[in-house]
Amino acid sequence: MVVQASCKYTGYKLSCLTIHPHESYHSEPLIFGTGSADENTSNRITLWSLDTNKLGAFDALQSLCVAPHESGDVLDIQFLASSSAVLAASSSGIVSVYQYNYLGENMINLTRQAQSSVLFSVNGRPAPVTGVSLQDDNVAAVGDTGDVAVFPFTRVHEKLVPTRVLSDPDGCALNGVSFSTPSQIVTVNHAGRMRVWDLRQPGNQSVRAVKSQPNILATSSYAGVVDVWDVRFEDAPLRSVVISESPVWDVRFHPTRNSQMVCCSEDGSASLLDFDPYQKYPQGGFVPEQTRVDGDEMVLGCDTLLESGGIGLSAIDTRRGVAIAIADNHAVYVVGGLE
Amino acid sequence: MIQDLDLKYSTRRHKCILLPRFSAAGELSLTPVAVTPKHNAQARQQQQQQQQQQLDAGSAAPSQHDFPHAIVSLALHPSPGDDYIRQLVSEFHTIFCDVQKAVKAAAAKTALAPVTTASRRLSQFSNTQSALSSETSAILSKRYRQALKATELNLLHDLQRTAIVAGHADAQAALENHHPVCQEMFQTRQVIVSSMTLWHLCEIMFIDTRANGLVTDSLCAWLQHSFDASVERLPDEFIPASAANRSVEELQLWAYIARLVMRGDTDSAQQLLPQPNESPSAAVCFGPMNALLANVPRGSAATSVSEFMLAWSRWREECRIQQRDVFAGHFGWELLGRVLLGDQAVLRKLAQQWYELVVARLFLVTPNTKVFDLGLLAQEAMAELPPPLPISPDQAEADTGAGEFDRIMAAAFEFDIQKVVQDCTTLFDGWFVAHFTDLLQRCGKLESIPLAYGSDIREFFVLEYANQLASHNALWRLACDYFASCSVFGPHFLKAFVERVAPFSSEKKAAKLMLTCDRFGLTEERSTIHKVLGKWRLQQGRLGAALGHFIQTRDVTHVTAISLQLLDSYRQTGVLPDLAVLDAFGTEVGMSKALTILHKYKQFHSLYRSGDLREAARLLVDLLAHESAPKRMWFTLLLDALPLLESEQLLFGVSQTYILMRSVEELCEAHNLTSLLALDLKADGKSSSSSSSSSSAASAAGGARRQINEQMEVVRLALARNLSRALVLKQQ
Repeated sequence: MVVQASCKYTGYKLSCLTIHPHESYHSEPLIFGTGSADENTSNRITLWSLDTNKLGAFDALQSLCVAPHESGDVLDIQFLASSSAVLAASSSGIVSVYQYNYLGENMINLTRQAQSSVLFSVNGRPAPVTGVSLQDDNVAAVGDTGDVAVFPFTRVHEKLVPTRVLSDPDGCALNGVSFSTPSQIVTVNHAGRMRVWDLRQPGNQSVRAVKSQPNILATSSYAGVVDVWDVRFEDAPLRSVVISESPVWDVRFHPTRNSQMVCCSEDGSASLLDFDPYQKYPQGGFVPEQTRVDGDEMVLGCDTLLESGGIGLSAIDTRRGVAIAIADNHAVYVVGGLE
Repeated sequence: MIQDLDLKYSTRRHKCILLPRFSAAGELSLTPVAVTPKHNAQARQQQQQQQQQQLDAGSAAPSQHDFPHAIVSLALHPSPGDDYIRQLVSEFHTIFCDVQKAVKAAAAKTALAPVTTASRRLSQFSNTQSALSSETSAILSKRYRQALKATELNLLHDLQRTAIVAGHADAQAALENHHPVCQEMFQTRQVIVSSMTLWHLCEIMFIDTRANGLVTDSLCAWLQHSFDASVERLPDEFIPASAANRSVEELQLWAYIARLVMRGDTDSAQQLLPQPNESPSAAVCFGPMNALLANVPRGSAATSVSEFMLAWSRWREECRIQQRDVFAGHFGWELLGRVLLGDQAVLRKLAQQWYELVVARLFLVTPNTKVFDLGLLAQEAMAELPPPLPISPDQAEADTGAGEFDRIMAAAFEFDIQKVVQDCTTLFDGWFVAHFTDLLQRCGKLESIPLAYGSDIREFFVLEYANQLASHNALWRLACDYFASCSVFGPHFLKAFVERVAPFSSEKKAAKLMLTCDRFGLTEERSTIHKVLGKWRLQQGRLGAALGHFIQTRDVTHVTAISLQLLDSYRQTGVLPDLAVLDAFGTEVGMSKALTILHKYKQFHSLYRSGDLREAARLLVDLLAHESAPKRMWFTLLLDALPLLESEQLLFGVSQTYILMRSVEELCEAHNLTSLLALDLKADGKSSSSSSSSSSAASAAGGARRQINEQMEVVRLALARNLSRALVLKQQ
């Protein structure tokens, strides 16, 4: 049964959220990170611990450590668990690398180690980096200028420079990026276009991928629709679901349950979508709408995690039966009982 | 009107609100730390257990926080107090929105209910909004207090952590050593605690009026939660000569128990009573006293006032009998007996603050006092136990400490809502006053008095607060909800504010801002934001994005200019940007001729790419046939037609070929070609800006003319071939 477990007001404007990818034991608290966008006043990256065994208790959600982020608003953060690093995309056009180390049980130290050169700029002024994704040792960052910068992950200040810059021909701001395979990145832009870029090819050939099904992607849109795509069939999404009349700001797959994803919207609602794109067609794979003979619809369950009507939610993530969302009223919401 | 508002708005923009104004808060003795008498090990253990129970239930403010997580590093923020006030600001906003929703729901309910003509007429004249039910307002009021409580607990938790990280044993030690960050956090906590105390009192007095008019239990709970019952020593008068050999601790214990009884905390008092085996007096007195304390009649449990008063008189009679027969002459027990009998002299001596005396008298002397009559009790008590600082109005300006706080509490006891609200403004910041007056007015307790300089007092404070929020970059979204909740001036403020939220740091923020405009029906402002964004993108040279914004605002001038610029750049470079933005528009593309052509041209390219050549050919002829495309585009269009003319499939019919041929001939007329050349040369001159002597220009013109003629010859040839194929096909 879905229960709203807790809500914690942080006292600063939150902009992004990511749960630590390490699949820890159930006895251990979940670690997740948030970045703030207090509009250039005093920004910070916070690592939190959520004790999933104590959901609902006042102290289930605790901030573990706070690192100041001096260069602009944090617009996206990602963990690189293998290197104990956190990457932060900033409104000042740079990507910063933070190092965290466990000092013992629930003791974490977070320090800034390096920062990239200014990746995107317009008329000599830095333009925001709106999203960052990484796979193996490659980092892809997208910006408000419509460009994609690819660079190797390193802790050396000077070496954090783009090795390759791709440009979106739409000339629109890019909103998100994700690696679908080590050599393939997917971006989405403000005009609603999803693009797949093949890094192995010199030319230009769209936002989070399921690890075990790299060809399946989900995108959320300004029109309140969540689309599930198979990148091999670019013409039409596998499934489109109207979630809300307001923009859906974020959609994420459950890292281990491939058929589950969570999304959150400007109208304050959060939903759990449960679907299996190939459930009805186990042998034949994807069957486009036009060639289906029995007119079967794919089964899709939609559970409301948070009711609409509140203030907009800007990011959401899920792990281990828990969904964590951040809202425009500077609060972190935790919803439990998703299993 | 709006000019005025602008001025007001702009003068307030630089004001910073979030620092607590309550600098003298440290003087208030509001620490809820109970001093437990030390000599009685059993009692102490019980007290600790009780504290632990309270902690588990989350009902008490623990001074010693039990930290489940180990201490971790905490980067210190420049002004740590701010964070907690910001937490409150955010959480209060959520509750504030729920209050407005509840008001709307109540209004909808009233609208649905059958309304008689008389009541409608009455409601027109009274100008009151449908008030929230007292049950709903009490729930909302409690949520405000819970928010304060949660923030205080967070703060205490962080205070302890900060103290330990800074190398102190605990928060207390850090404060004693004047650790600056801890001190600031402590001051913020004092602000939160005192606002919680005041809110709770006002909730009992004005908002939560569900009970049968008896407020004793609520006020006892208020005193227990807000102020501690610690004692320094027992007043000398109560120490009989026979007690000279008693220890100080024992005297303190009795005073402590007596004060617990005075504030209605009989459960705690029972637990601290000396057990029967501890002394001969206790052996005699424990049973009766324990029974009396256990059976105190509670107003909240009674169904009516008369029923309660009957029970209370019986209990009081029992007290009198036990005092005369059992407690008399037993040290300590007799004192408790006198307290239970409401001995005025004893109560006055034991009470440390006037409000304690008010509650004690209410609990033990006149438990049926109604809310409206509490003022009298308060006045008497203040006369007997004056607050620490004088409360004369002359000193109100200079006095921001304890005296002021007492004055507000006194006003609350006197049921003077206006005065409470007015005085709160001197002691607390906008966040308290705005939400407090809003709730009071929404539940119908604060009369809507029109002000000379605004709508009414609620709107005045809410707008004031919204302006304070608006001055902070990160709080603009919250400010909008406050502006929107004000029916008279709110819309003007909101309009003026929304246009000033820029600069847009990102496309997402702009999108959020426009959604806010949609939500509050600000179409003009939304249009303005699109214009600003369009200009911004135009300056960055991102024509596609700029075009999208200008189409949204139906700015024909800019749309035409950008469309032509895109078409020209295609003519010169051969690259048409992938204009995905145009896909989102339907009939809007008809607003400008240039945009229609650009849209058709984009369609032509996508049809060509997707292999639908016949449709692409039809579209191309369409562009030329109705002369919709400007002449300078014709050349490019005709060149685009070449591969279609050369395809194996016949794509152009006879009449279509004639149209294309006519276009070629018209274009090759001297003046058309000259103007085309002039345009190109102009563009070339602009781009190269090298030495432009007339001879080189002439030779360049000659070269270009020759090149165009050559290309036209190729087109003519292809057209001729196509015509012959079309004619043959037609004959067949």
